[in-house]
Amino acid sequence: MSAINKIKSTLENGSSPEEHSKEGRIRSYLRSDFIRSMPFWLPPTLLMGLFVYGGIFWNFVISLTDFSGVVRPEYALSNFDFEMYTRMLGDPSFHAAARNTILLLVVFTLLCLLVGLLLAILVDNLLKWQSILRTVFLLPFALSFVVTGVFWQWMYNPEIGTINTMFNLLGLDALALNWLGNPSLRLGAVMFALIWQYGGYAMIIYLASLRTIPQEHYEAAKVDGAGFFVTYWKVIIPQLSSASVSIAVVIMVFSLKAFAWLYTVFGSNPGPAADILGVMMYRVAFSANQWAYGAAIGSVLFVGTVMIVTPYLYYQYKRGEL
Amino acid sequence: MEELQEGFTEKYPNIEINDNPVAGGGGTNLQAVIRQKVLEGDPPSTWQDWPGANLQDYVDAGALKDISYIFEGEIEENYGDGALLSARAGDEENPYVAMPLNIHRVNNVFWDIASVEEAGVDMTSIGDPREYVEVLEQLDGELDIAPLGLSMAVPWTILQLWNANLVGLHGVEAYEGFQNGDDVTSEVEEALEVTQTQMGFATEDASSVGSDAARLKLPQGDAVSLMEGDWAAGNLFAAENYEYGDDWGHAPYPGTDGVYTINTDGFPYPKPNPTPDATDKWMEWVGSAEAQRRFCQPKGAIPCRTDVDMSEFSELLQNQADDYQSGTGILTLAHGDGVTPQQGTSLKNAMARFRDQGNVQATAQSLMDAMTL
Repeated sequence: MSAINKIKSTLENGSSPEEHSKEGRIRSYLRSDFIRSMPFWLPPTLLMGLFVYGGIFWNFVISLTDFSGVVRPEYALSNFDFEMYTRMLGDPSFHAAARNTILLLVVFTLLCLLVGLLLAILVDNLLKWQSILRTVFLLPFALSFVVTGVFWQWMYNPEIGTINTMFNLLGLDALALNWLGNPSLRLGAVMFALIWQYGGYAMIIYLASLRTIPQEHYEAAKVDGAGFFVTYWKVIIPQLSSASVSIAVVIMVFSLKAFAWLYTVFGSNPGPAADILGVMMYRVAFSANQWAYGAAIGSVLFVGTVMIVTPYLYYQYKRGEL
Repeated sequence: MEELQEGFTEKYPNIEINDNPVAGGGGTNLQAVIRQKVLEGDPPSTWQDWPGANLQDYVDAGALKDISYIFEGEIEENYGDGALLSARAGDEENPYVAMPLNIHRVNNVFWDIASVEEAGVDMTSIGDPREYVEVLEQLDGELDIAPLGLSMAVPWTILQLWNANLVGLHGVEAYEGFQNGDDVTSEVEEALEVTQTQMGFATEDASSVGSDAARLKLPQGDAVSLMEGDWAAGNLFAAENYEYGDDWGHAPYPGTDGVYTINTDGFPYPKPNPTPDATDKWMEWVGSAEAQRRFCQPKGAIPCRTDVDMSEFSELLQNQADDYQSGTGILTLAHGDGVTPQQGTSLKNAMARFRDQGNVQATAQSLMDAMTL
């Protein structure tokens, strides 16, 4: 019998032979941690449940309707179907956006980890300028995507941009390409800009992790005759795995939000070469008024995010950190 | 906008205007807020929007009022045909549901006079888009700067250029056929081929610049010509030491002389309306010659009415107004007047794909498919 039913039955039965012991049980129940902590966890749980999980659920419901334009859909079970999801399968824009989103997730995350790790090792081994360089590398992370979007649009300008001007000065004219114009370079150019922005974040987490490794490990490796590279490869980097996992999760979630960067540079249509699901969702919903289709893309994006975060949560759970 | 509101308040001192600007997104946020309010059955008295087919979703939802009683009589008599079609949300079958205020012409070519003179080209005598391509080739050969200023970072500029090429090559009939969803494959493909060739003459940084930056290529001396809506004249007028007639010229886009591709701004009339009497008066005011004179002159657009005193307008706009009155008005495919939001988004999708992949046949099919949505 559940606790609430017990209370109910107690109230209904009025006085009974067991009255005293039941009253005692209610009293102890009211005094329990569960009830007494309620004012602290219940309101946020309800608010989160309604505004976050309720929103996600409602988004899914909308994706089952055929809501478009400014006519409210009929929310009836008989009207619900997966038409929007089947439409996605035959939509070349969706294929391109999904492909780019996955590429961004995988390649950008891996490169970001690599760049962050190299920077962290570099900064960690510097005797001077450590704090200055740490700030320099971390600074881009503090800028908004809108600022960095405009900034990189100028940097990539093939006529007056810094990048091509630099290549030309160095006599590397062959490398002065049309970075944002050439569709086969566009996504790469976007990733490079994002790595510039997030590499510093990966560095700072790695750096903190490196600092927790006792000096003895380095010394022991040295005594055993390991050089610089072997020390890092065999002894230090394996100890950074938990940092790598948490950085990867954060970076992946950020890559799903590259929307703001792309929207700043290309508006709502970056073309098949750099379109991602986030931008497509916005375009379909807010430019074309195809709400249900937009909601369906949103649901796919949500499932993608859950698929990224779940293994991480499981990993943390196994390690007893959750 | 202030000018418009001031004039209204002078005329109707006892009606208070409650102006609610929605910030951000270049109007996209406003659209989202309006749609939400209309869905909830609580629309504002009116809002500023692109009339024409852009409003079709609202018409389908029965959210706009038939305001024929405001149009009948002197407004209907004095408005040009294209503007009246925009007032009917782009479809003759619809009643009047919005009051268009001003018109931007989309089919224009602008050029830098010193550059074309140096190359020995006469921009006013180009017969059609194919001849324009030959001119671009000639400019490319003669001069060191790019023959065409064009933003390719966004697809609407390419769509706009293609729209002008379609009309320039095959006239208004091809445009109408396309809009009605007829099979005009060969016409659409030819216009795409010309557009593709023209894109090759654009400045090297076309994919990295927005439309504002592309327009400024003329006064900066980085490009010779520009195909743009006449809002571009605003950028050129604002450039220092760059005068219309002396430094830059304007003509209808090659092959589209006698055609006025219309992009209007105006005010839809939602129902149920919170303030029907005041909204009626606002619509009458917006449709009046006085309001259009006050608003259009600083905005750099021509009025929808043909009886507005144009003496204070620039020479360019006076010429445009003459062309509007004598020409055939068609509604632009690249903005809101001639296409529904869904069609417009699909057309731009097709153009973004075209820019990246250059497939003429596939793009023609996608463009025509978009019009059946």
